[in-house]
Amino acid sequence: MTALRAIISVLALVAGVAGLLIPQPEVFAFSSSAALVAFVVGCGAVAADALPLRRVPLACSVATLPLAVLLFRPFSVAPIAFAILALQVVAYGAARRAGPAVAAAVRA
Amino acid sequence: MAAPADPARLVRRLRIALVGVAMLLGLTLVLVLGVLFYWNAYLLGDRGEDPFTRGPYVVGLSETTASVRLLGPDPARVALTAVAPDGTEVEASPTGDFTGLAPGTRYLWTAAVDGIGQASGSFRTAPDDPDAEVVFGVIADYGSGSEHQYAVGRGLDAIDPAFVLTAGDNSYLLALPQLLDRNIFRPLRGVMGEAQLVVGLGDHDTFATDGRFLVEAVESPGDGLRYTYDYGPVRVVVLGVDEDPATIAFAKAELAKPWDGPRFAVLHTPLQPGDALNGVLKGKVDAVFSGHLHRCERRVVDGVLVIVAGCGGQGPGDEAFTLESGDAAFSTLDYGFVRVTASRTGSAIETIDESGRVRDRVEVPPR
Repeated sequence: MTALRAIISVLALVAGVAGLLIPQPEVFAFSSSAALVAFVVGCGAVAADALPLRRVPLACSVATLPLAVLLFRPFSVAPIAFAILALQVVAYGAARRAGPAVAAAVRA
Repeated sequence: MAAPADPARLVRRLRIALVGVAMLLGLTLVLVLGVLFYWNAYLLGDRGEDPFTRGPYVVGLSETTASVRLLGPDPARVALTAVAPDGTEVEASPTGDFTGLAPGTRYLWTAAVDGIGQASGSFRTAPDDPDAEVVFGVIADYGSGSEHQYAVGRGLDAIDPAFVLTAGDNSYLLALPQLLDRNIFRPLRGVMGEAQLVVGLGDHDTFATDGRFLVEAVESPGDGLRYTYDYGPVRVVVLGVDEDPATIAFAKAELAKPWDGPRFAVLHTPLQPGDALNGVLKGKVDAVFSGHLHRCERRVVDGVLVIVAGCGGQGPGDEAFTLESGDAAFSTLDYGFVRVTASRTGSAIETIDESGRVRDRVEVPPR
């Protein structure tokens, strides 16, 4: 589900930039909103990566959830947000590599 | 139902549905956790437990001193401070005694435990002006822990008394140490944080224990049965449970002492016509406060004004045994207390019920 990963990536990017540019606690408005949506969309990404099973993307999606919870706090916003972004990049690359095999499995 | 033409498309749709359900689940989880967080942080927020198991309560007030007692925290953790209207601050001794206070002044006190103010109240030191007016409350037959007693306690607190006089039966059925908090200190906590409870003992208090646990707790003088209490121009002679030779002797001795201001007596069992004590009290006291009969009544017995304040909270067990006295000018079974406004120019004695209504009032001219 590239669309879900793209949404999470954009949210993480916005939160990360906000974390760098906006002081505490004003940054909480951005980080908490991004965290809320990232958590909900991340739940969808976990389901998408579980069926059919794609190990690396699934691990990245699962790891996104606790990081999204941490993003609720107005501390260390930028590192957490960029960690989430990095997870999405890793998951996207792994999903692309596994793409043909998964498609064949679905068709079978 | 026809089979789908493209199984891959069906699988894709099912995946989208699964993703939607997963996101809905995540949203629900966030909402539930949000509600739980709000509930815990703002609705069930920990305001801290009351560190005091008893009090703080006032046990003594004079023109220049006050004593406040409490149970619960280690005394070393408690700081008692009183502040006068002009900002003068007085620290209590480790035992809770204030000294060097100004007469006739209301002090705000705070009991801080580990630096946090955990209880506050105020007391008024006795006036040194002989013409000062003093307001005090009277209750009897109250120590039951009932909702009526709590109501009476709130009413007493509201009249802002200098002290509260009790005419016996402070704790039912007995004045055992395990019952004192339930029957006295909790229902009267508000008023006892502001005014001394001047305790007269009743038959329930003295049965089996001689009232010693209560006497120790409120720090009544001597054995707590018979003593004299002064507050500014007001003197109260506490005579005990009922009339006997010791009571008469004590009354004669105390009432022989000159006293220019209002003077009252407390005897748990109400006077009856022909009692030997009547002649001792007549003309020497402005009124006698009693209990025992679980009513509030006003009578004149052989020339002595008798105010029965037995409606303090225990209530009548059986109305057949709680009959109105034949010579009563006023009598009610309704719960309440007595407010006395006393000065050298005369006193007003009012019976106020638990709803706050003045049910009876009598003006007492100076002796």
